[in-house]
Amino acid sequence: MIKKFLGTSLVTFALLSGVASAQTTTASTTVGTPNTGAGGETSQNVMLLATSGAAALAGALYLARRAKLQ
Amino acid sequence: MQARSTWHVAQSFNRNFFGSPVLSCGRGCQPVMTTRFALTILIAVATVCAAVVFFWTGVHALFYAPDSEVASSMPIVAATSSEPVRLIIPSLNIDANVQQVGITKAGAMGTPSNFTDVAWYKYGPAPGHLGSSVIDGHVDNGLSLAGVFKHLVDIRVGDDVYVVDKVGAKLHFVVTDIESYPYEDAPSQDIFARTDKARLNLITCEGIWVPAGKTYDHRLVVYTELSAS
Repeated sequence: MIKKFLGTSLVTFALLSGVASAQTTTASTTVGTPNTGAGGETSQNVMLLATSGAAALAGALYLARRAKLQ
Repeated sequence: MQARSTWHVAQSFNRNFFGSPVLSCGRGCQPVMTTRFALTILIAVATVCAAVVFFWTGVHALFYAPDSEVASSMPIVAATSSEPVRLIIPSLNIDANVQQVGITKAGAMGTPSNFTDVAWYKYGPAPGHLGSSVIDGHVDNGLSLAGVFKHLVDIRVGDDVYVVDKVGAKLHFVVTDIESYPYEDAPSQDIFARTDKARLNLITCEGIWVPAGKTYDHRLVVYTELSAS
Protein backbone atom coordinates (compact mmCIF):
# COMPACT_ATOMS: atom_id res chain seq x y z
CA MET A 1 0.00 0.00 0.00
CA ILE A 2 2.78 2.39 1.00
CA LYS A 3 4.82 1.33 -2.01
CA LYS A 4 1.86 1.96 -4.28
CA PHE A 5 1.28 5.38 -2.72
CA LEU A 6 4.93 6.32 -3.07
CA GLY A 7 4.98 5.06 -6.66
CA THR A 8 1.88 7.06 -7.54
CA SER A 9 3.28 10.16 -5.86
CA LEU A 10 6.57 9.86 -7.71
CA VAL A 11 4.84 9.41 -11.06
CA THR A 12 2.56 12.37 -10.33
CA PHE A 13 5.54 14.49 -9.31
CA ALA A 14 7.46 13.45 -12.40
CA LEU A 15 4.53 14.28 -14.66
CA LEU A 16 3.89 17.61 -12.95
CA SER A 17 7.52 18.63 -13.09
CA GLY A 18 7.61 17.57 -16.72
CA VAL A 19 4.58 19.67 -17.53
CA ALA A 20 5.99 22.64 -15.62
CA SER A 21 9.25 22.29 -17.47
CA ALA A 22 7.46 21.98 -20.77
CA GLN A 23 5.46 25.13 -20.15
CA THR A 24 8.58 27.16 -19.56
CA THR A 25 10.47 25.84 -22.56
CA THR A 26 8.56 24.07 -25.30
CA ALA A 27 5.51 21.88 -25.35
CA SER A 28 7.29 18.58 -25.67
CA THR A 29 10.81 18.47 -24.27
CA THR A 30 10.14 15.81 -21.65
CA VAL A 31 8.41 13.24 -23.81
CA GLY A 32 9.90 9.77 -23.95
CA THR A 33 10.18 7.76 -27.14
CA PRO A 34 7.19 5.54 -27.96
CA ASN A 35 6.98 1.78 -27.61
CA THR A 36 6.21 0.80 -31.18
CA GLY A 37 6.69 -2.93 -31.31
CA ALA A 38 4.99 -6.05 -30.04
CA GLY A 39 6.88 -8.80 -31.82
CA GLY A 40 8.60 -9.99 -28.68
CA GLU A 41 5.31 -11.27 -27.34
CA THR A 42 4.83 -13.61 -30.29
CA SER A 43 5.62 -16.85 -28.45
CA GLN A 44 3.35 -15.91 -25.57
CA ASN A 45 0.52 -14.96 -27.94
CA VAL A 46 0.94 -18.10 -30.03
CA MET A 47 0.84 -20.27 -26.92
CA LEU A 48 -2.26 -18.50 -25.66
CA LEU A 49 -3.97 -18.77 -29.03
CA ALA A 50 -3.13 -22.47 -29.35
CA THR A 51 -4.26 -23.33 -25.82
CA SER A 52 -7.48 -21.33 -25.88
CA GLY A 53 -8.26 -22.40 -29.43
CA ALA A 54 -7.79 -26.07 -28.59
CA ALA A 55 -9.89 -25.72 -25.45
CA ALA A 56 -12.69 -23.93 -27.30
CA LEU A 57 -12.64 -26.50 -30.09
CA ALA A 58 -12.65 -29.46 -27.72
CA GLY A 59 -15.47 -27.95 -25.69
CA ALA A 60 -17.52 -27.19 -28.77
CA LEU A 61 -17.03 -30.72 -30.08
CA TYR A 62 -18.06 -32.21 -26.74
CA LEU A 63 -21.20 -30.07 -26.58
CA ALA A 64 -22.07 -30.86 -30.18
CA ARG A 65 -21.65 -34.57 -29.51
CA ARG A 66 -23.82 -34.37 -26.41
CA ALA A 67 -26.54 -32.56 -28.32
CA LYS A 68 -26.36 -35.08 -31.16
CA LEU A 69 -26.63 -38.04 -28.79
CA GLN A 70 -29.80 -36.64 -27.33
CA MET B 1 -53.02 -37.44 -15.12
CA GLN B 2 -51.87 -33.90 -14.59
CA ALA B 3 -48.84 -35.04 -12.59
CA ARG B 4 -47.82 -37.56 -15.27
CA SER B 5 -48.08 -34.98 -18.03
CA THR B 6 -45.82 -32.60 -16.14
CA TRP B 7 -43.26 -35.38 -15.64
CA HIS B 8 -43.13 -36.09 -19.37
CA VAL B 9 -42.67 -32.45 -20.25
CA ALA B 10 -39.85 -32.09 -17.74
CA GLN B 11 -38.14 -35.29 -18.83
CA SER B 12 -38.37 -34.34 -22.47
CA PHE B 13 -36.86 -30.93 -21.78
CA ASN B 14 -33.96 -32.38 -19.89
CA ARG B 15 -33.23 -35.04 -22.42
CA ASN B 16 -33.19 -32.59 -25.26
CA PHE B 17 -30.91 -30.07 -23.67
CA PHE B 18 -28.80 -31.71 -21.01
CA GLY B 19 -28.27 -35.32 -22.02
CA SER B 20 -29.40 -38.20 -19.89
CA PRO B 21 -32.56 -37.83 -17.79
CA VAL B 22 -31.94 -35.59 -14.87
CA LEU B 23 -35.11 -36.28 -13.00
CA SER B 24 -35.36 -38.39 -9.95
CA CYS B 25 -38.98 -39.33 -10.12
CA GLY B 26 -40.20 -40.57 -6.92
CA ARG B 27 -43.67 -39.74 -5.80
CA GLY B 28 -43.21 -36.02 -6.28
CA CYS B 29 -41.12 -36.10 -9.48
CA GLN B 30 -38.64 -33.52 -8.14
CA PRO B 31 -35.87 -32.57 -10.63
CA VAL B 32 -32.36 -33.20 -9.38
CA MET B 33 -29.23 -31.97 -11.17
CA THR B 34 -26.98 -34.87 -12.11
CA THR B 35 -23.23 -34.88 -12.32
CA ARG B 36 -23.39 -35.08 -16.09
CA PHE B 37 -25.59 -32.03 -16.28
CA ALA B 38 -23.19 -30.07 -14.06
CA LEU B 39 -20.26 -31.24 -16.18
CA THR B 40 -22.00 -30.13 -19.36
CA ILE B 41 -22.67 -26.68 -17.93
CA LEU B 42 -19.06 -26.45 -16.73
CA ILE B 43 -17.72 -27.39 -20.16
CA ALA B 44 -20.05 -24.93 -21.84
CA VAL B 45 -18.81 -22.10 -19.62
CA ALA B 46 -15.18 -23.13 -20.12
CA THR B 47 -15.71 -23.28 -23.88
CA VAL B 48 -17.14 -19.77 -23.96
CA CYS B 49 -14.25 -18.47 -21.81
CA ALA B 50 -11.67 -20.15 -24.05
CA ALA B 51 -13.35 -18.70 -27.15
CA VAL B 52 -13.28 -15.21 -25.61
CA VAL B 53 -9.57 -15.54 -24.72
CA PHE B 54 -8.82 -16.82 -28.24
CA PHE B 55 -10.70 -13.96 -29.88
CA TRP B 56 -9.26 -11.30 -27.53
CA THR B 57 -5.68 -12.50 -27.96
CA GLY B 58 -6.01 -12.80 -31.72
CA VAL B 59 -7.47 -9.32 -32.16
CA HIS B 60 -4.89 -7.68 -29.90
CA ALA B 61 -1.97 -9.53 -31.47
CA LEU B 62 -3.04 -8.87 -35.04
CA PHE B 63 -5.08 -5.69 -35.26
CA TYR B 64 -5.61 -3.65 -32.14
CA ALA B 65 -2.88 -2.12 -29.98
CA PRO B 66 -4.38 0.52 -27.73
CA ASP B 67 -1.96 2.56 -25.67
CA SER B 68 -3.34 3.93 -22.43
CA GLU B 69 -2.75 7.66 -22.45
CA VAL B 70 -3.09 10.15 -19.63
CA ALA B 71 -4.74 13.53 -19.81
CA SER B 72 -2.22 16.32 -20.17
CA SER B 73 -2.48 20.00 -19.43
CA MET B 74 -0.07 20.74 -22.26
CA PRO B 75 -1.66 22.91 -24.92
CA ILE B 76 -2.31 21.64 -28.42
CA VAL B 77 -0.42 24.20 -30.46
CA ALA B 78 -1.33 23.03 -33.96
CA ALA B 79 -4.29 24.55 -35.78
CA THR B 80 -7.01 22.04 -36.59
CA SER B 81 -6.64 22.68 -40.31
CA SER B 82 -2.93 21.78 -40.14
CA GLU B 83 -3.47 18.38 -38.57
CA PRO B 84 -1.96 15.60 -40.68
CA VAL B 85 -4.28 12.92 -42.04
CA ARG B 86 -1.99 10.84 -44.29
CA LEU B 87 1.68 9.98 -44.42
CA ILE B 88 3.13 8.92 -47.75
CA ILE B 89 6.63 7.51 -48.31
CA PRO B 90 6.87 6.44 -51.96
CA SER B 91 10.22 4.63 -51.63
CA LEU B 92 8.75 2.29 -48.98
CA ASN B 93 5.26 2.02 -50.48
CA ILE B 94 3.78 3.53 -47.34
CA ASP B 95 0.46 5.39 -47.57
CA ALA B 96 -0.92 5.39 -44.05
CA ASN B 97 -3.71 7.02 -42.12
CA VAL B 98 -2.47 9.36 -39.37
CA GLN B 99 -3.96 9.12 -35.89
CA GLN B 100 -3.34 11.61 -33.09
CA VAL B 101 -1.71 10.62 -29.81
CA GLY B 102 -0.61 12.24 -26.57
CA ILE B 103 1.41 10.94 -23.65
CA THR B 104 1.27 7.54 -21.97
CA LYS B 105 1.31 6.87 -18.24
CA ALA B 106 5.04 6.21 -18.55
CA GLY B 107 5.59 9.68 -19.97
CA ALA B 108 6.28 8.48 -23.49
CA MET B 109 4.68 9.46 -26.75
CA GLY B 110 1.57 7.38 -27.46
CA THR B 111 1.31 4.93 -30.33
CA PRO B 112 -1.36 4.23 -32.95
CA SER B 113 -4.16 1.90 -31.91
CA ASN B 114 -3.42 -0.52 -34.72
CA PHE B 115 -0.45 -1.77 -36.71
CA THR B 116 -1.30 -0.19 -40.06
CA ASP B 117 -1.77 3.47 -39.10
CA VAL B 118 0.84 5.94 -37.91
CA ALA B 119 0.34 8.51 -35.15
CA TRP B 120 1.20 12.17 -34.86
CA TYR B 121 2.24 13.66 -31.49
CA LYS B 122 -0.54 16.20 -31.05
CA TYR B 123 1.21 18.34 -28.40
CA GLY B 124 3.96 19.25 -30.83
CA PRO B 125 3.79 21.37 -33.97
CA ALA B 126 1.92 20.13 -37.02
CA PRO B 127 4.03 19.03 -39.99
CA GLY B 128 5.10 22.03 -42.04
CA HIS B 129 5.25 24.39 -39.09
CA LEU B 130 8.40 25.60 -37.37
CA GLY B 131 9.62 22.98 -34.91
CA SER B 132 9.80 19.20 -34.65
CA SER B 133 6.66 17.39 -35.62
CA VAL B 134 6.82 13.70 -34.70
CA ILE B 135 5.06 10.69 -36.20
CA ASP B 136 5.48 7.13 -34.94
CA GLY B 137 4.36 3.72 -36.17
CA HIS B 138 4.65 0.08 -35.17
CA VAL B 139 7.43 -2.08 -36.54
CA ASP B 140 5.52 -5.34 -36.00
CA ASN B 141 2.47 -6.80 -34.32
CA GLY B 142 1.99 -9.39 -31.58
CA LEU B 143 2.60 -12.24 -34.00
CA SER B 144 5.75 -10.67 -35.52
CA LEU B 145 3.95 -9.75 -38.73
CA ALA B 146 5.02 -6.50 -40.36
CA GLY B 147 3.76 -3.21 -38.99
CA VAL B 148 3.52 0.01 -41.00
CA PHE B 149 7.14 0.98 -40.23
CA LYS B 150 8.64 -2.50 -40.64
CA HIS B 151 10.80 -1.30 -43.50
CA LEU B 152 11.51 2.20 -42.23
CA VAL B 153 15.07 1.03 -41.66
CA ASP B 154 15.45 0.82 -45.46
CA ILE B 155 14.81 4.53 -46.02
CA ARG B 156 17.75 6.57 -47.28
CA VAL B 157 18.92 10.14 -46.87
CA GLY B 158 17.37 12.15 -49.69
CA ASP B 159 14.18 10.08 -49.89
CA ASP B 160 10.88 11.93 -50.10
CA VAL B 161 8.22 11.94 -47.41
CA TYR B 162 4.82 13.55 -47.91
CA VAL B 163 2.18 14.57 -45.41
CA VAL B 164 -1.37 15.46 -46.38
CA ASP B 165 -3.12 17.75 -43.93
CA LYS B 166 -6.77 18.18 -43.10
CA VAL B 167 -7.44 20.71 -45.84
CA GLY B 168 -5.75 18.55 -48.47
CA ALA B 169 -2.42 20.36 -48.71
CA LYS B 170 0.47 18.03 -49.53
CA LEU B 171 3.72 18.89 -47.74
CA HIS B 172 7.02 17.61 -49.06
CA PHE B 173 9.80 16.58 -46.68
CA VAL B 174 13.24 15.19 -47.46
CA VAL B 175 15.14 12.74 -45.26
CA THR B 176 18.25 14.41 -43.83
CA ASP B 177 19.46 11.94 -41.22
CA ILE B 178 18.77 8.45 -39.87
CA GLU B 179 19.78 7.49 -36.34
CA SER B 180 19.34 4.56 -33.97
CA TYR B 181 19.34 5.15 -30.21
CA PRO B 182 19.12 2.92 -27.12
CA TYR B 183 15.52 3.24 -25.99
CA GLU B 184 16.45 4.56 -22.55
CA ASP B 185 18.89 7.07 -23.96
CA ALA B 186 17.18 8.61 -26.97
CA PRO B 187 17.75 12.38 -27.22
CA SER B 188 14.27 13.65 -26.52
CA GLN B 189 15.36 17.23 -27.13
CA ASP B 190 16.59 16.46 -30.64
CA ILE B 191 13.56 14.41 -31.55
CA PHE B 192 10.77 16.54 -30.11
CA ALA B 193 12.04 20.03 -29.45
CA ARG B 194 14.32 21.45 -32.13
CA THR B 195 12.79 24.68 -33.33
CA ASP B 196 15.21 25.93 -35.98
CA LYS B 197 13.35 24.51 -39.00
CA ALA B 198 10.11 22.84 -40.00
CA ARG B 199 10.99 19.26 -39.25
CA LEU B 200 9.17 15.94 -39.37
CA ASN B 201 10.70 13.07 -37.41
CA LEU B 202 9.58 9.47 -37.86
CA ILE B 203 10.08 6.93 -35.06
CA THR B 204 9.78 3.20 -34.72
CA CYS B 205 11.35 0.38 -32.71
CA GLU B 206 14.26 -1.81 -33.68
CA GLY B 207 16.84 -4.04 -32.08
CA ILE B 208 16.40 -6.87 -29.60
CA TRP B 209 13.30 -7.50 -27.51
CA VAL B 210 13.69 -6.69 -23.82
CA PRO B 211 11.21 -8.91 -21.95
CA ALA B 212 11.40 -6.93 -18.72
CA GLY B 213 10.48 -3.69 -20.47
CA LYS B 214 8.22 -5.37 -23.04
CA THR B 215 9.89 -3.32 -25.74
CA TYR B 216 12.74 -3.35 -28.23
CA ASP B 217 16.07 -2.00 -27.06
CA HIS B 218 16.52 0.66 -29.77
CA ARG B 219 14.55 3.39 -31.46
CA LEU B 220 15.05 4.23 -35.12
CA VAL B 221 14.57 7.94 -35.81
CA VAL B 222 14.35 9.34 -39.33
CA TYR B 223 14.87 13.08 -39.44
CA THR B 224 13.33 15.01 -42.30
CA GLU B 225 13.04 18.68 -43.21
CA LEU B 226 10.41 20.57 -45.14
CA SER B 227 11.44 20.98 -48.74
CA ALA B 228 11.00 24.26 -50.55
CA SER B 229 9.72 22.45 -53.63
